[in-house]
Amino acid sequence: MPEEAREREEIRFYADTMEGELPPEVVEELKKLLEESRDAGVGEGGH
Amino acid sequence: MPVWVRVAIRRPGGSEEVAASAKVNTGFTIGPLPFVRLPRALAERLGFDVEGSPLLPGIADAAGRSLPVRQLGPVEIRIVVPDKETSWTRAIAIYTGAPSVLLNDVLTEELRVVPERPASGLWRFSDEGLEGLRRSAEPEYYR
Repeated sequence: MPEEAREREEIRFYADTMEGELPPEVVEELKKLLEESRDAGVGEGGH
Repeated sequence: MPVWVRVAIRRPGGSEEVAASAKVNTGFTIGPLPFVRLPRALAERLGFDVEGSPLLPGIADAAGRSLPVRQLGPVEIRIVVPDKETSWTRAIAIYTGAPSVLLNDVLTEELRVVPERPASGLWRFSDEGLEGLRRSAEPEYYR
């Protein structure tokens, strides 16, 4: 494996700092997923 | 040591619940949504298909290099402490190949966790004062 590719694998594995702006349609899709999971869930109450 | 907290994680409507230590990282910031990164072992215990999950576009490391991030799906998560009842909140679980549970900035705030002294690992809930700061949980890595 080339050195650069090996380095990328390391970065992929360990990167804790992740930044990004998701495309608006992806944000909407994820918001919908969260909203739908509210219906599937067993509630937000305390444990 | 950064702030580590004990969490419980489950899928909405699911019966399986996992307990783990999670690291708080305000440098993990993806849009306006709550995210939790899961290691493979926990993702699979919760029933996620890691390889079959779609990639999320537009996410980079601190140097701006593109990172392959898989979108696992929604989960419910809460902080576990012995002296306080906590509520479940929802987040999107992701997978990157990293071996620890990681909370992003939005989820940290929704869980009401305030990293008060990050180098010492001391934190509090947002409705608590500065007296009696809480110590971090033991770090956990799933290799």
